[in-house]
Amino acid sequence: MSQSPSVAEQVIDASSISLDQLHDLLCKLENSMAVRLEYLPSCWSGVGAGLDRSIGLRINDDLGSYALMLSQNVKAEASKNVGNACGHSLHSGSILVRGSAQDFLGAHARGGFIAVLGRAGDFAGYGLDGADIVVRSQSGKAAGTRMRAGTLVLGNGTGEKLGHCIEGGEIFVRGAIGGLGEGAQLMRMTQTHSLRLGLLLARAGIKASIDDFQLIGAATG
Amino acid sequence: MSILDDLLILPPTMGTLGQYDDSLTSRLIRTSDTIELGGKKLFAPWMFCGTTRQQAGSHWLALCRFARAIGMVVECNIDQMEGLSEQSVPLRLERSRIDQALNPNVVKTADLLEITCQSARSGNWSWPPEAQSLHELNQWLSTLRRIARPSSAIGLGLPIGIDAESIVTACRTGIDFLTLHADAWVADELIVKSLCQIRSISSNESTNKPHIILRCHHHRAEHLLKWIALGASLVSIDGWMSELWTNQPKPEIKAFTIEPTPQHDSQPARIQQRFDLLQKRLNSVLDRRQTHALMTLQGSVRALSATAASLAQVPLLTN
Repeated sequence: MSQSPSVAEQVIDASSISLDQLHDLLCKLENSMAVRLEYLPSCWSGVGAGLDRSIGLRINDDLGSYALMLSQNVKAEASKNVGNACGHSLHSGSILVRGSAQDFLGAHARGGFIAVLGRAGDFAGYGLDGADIVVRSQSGKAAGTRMRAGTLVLGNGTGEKLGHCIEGGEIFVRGAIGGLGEGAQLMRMTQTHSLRLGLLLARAGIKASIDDFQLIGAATG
Repeated sequence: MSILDDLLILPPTMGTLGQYDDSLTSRLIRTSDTIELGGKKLFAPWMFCGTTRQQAGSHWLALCRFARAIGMVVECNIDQMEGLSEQSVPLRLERSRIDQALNPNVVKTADLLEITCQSARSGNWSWPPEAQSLHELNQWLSTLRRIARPSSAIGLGLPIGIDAESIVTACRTGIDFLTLHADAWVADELIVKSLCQIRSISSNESTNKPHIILRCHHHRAEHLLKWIALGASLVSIDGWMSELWTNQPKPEIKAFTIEPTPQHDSQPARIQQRFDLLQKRLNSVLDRRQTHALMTLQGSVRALSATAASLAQVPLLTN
C-alpha cells in the first residue's frame, strides 16, 4: 500500500518583508499548503487576518493583536503567546495557542475552534457567536460577556462577572468562579452537555474529568 | 423654525463667470473638486443612507441604476443587490456595529466600510470594547484595511453631539471618512454645532482630514445645501427623495401570493427629475458664486442672527 506524501512545509522569513507583503504572500498560497512563519515581529497586528485558504500555518514567535481576525478554513498553531482579540470574528478553521492569550480572545467568533493551553486575559469569548473556545489554564474577568452562541470551556477558574449579559451558548468552568455576571446562572449538566464537553477537551488535547466542570448559561424568564 | 433658516450662503463679491450647459451629467462631472474616497471619485455630494429595498419598493432598481450611473454611494448590504445585474450595482457603503461579528463578505466587497460605534442591541454609542485606546483602534482599523479591497474606504460612524476628544481620536486613526449620525429627533442646532466642531478640529489636525458624511433626515433642498456649506462632504438625501416612494401603491395581495409591482418606465425618469431638482438648486448656488467648486461654499455662510453666528462660527451678516 502506497503512503500518501506528506505536505512539505514552506518557510517564510518575516524579518525581511513588510506586514503587507506577508499578507499578500499568505493570500496567494494554494489550498492544503503548510507554512511556517519565522522571525515575526510581535508588534505586527492582524497577522493571518482575512485569510480564506485551507492551509496549515505554524508560527514560532509571539503574535500581535487581531491575529487571524475574520479568517476562514485556516488551521493555525502558535507556539508562543498571542495578543489582544486573537481570532476576532473567526468564521471557520482552528487556532491552537501553546502559550497564553491576552484580552478578548475569540471576540465575536462565529465558527471554528480556538484552544489556548496557557492563560487567557479578560473578556475571553466576548460576544461569542457560534465558535468553540477552550482555555486550559486560568482566565481573567468577564469571560463570555454578551455571548450569543457557541461554547466556552475554562479549565482552571475564572474571574468575576462570568457570562455577563449572556444571551445564549454554554460556558463550562472547572475551578473557582470569581462571580457570575448579570443574566448568567448555574445550570444542570445533561448527558448531551457532558458529551460535548468531552469532545471539545479531547480536541484541545486536555485531559480532565468532566465531573469537575460546572455549566453556566443564560438565565431564562 | 430651524437654525438653518438663519444661515445664508452668499455669492462672492468678485470672480470670473463661466458658461455651463444645464445637463445633469456635465454639471456633475465639471464640478471641479470631486470627492475622493478610498480609490473612488464621487461627482456629487449626495448619497443614500438607509433607504432600503423594501422602502423604495419598485423604485429600487431604478434608484440603484441611477446611483451607479452618476457614481453615487448607496448605503445597503449586499443582500439588497440580489437580482441586480452587475451594471446596476452602485457604490455601496456597508455598516458593521461594534457588537456584531464582522462578516468577511461585507469587509471584502464593500466600497465604503463603516464601523458604526453603536451597539445593535442597546443602541448605546461607544468605542468597540476591544479597541478602547487610539493604539488599539489603529491596529483594528489597519487590520480591516488589509482585509478589505485596496480601493475600499474605511470610516467610523459616530453620533451627532460627540465630544471633541472622540473626534480627535477618530481623526488620528487615519480613517477615510467619518459618518455623523443624526436621528430624526436631533435638533438642527446640534448638527450645526457638531459640524463646526469637526471643521475646527480637522483644520488643526495636520495628519488626517477625513471626509464628513452627514446621515440626516432632512427634506428641504436648501437645508441639504447648507450642510455642505457648513463642512459636510456627503449628505444623505433619503428625506428629499423619499417623496417618490412614500405614496407609491402597495403591491396587490391575492389569496396566497403577493404580486410584484411591475417596473414602470417612468420610474428612472422620476428619480432623475427629483435628483435633478436638488442638483439644480446646488448648481444655482454655485452659479451665483461663479464657480463649480464645492469647497468654495465653505466659508460663504453668513448668519442673520447672533445666535446662529455663534453656533455656526460664521460672521454675522451686516448691511
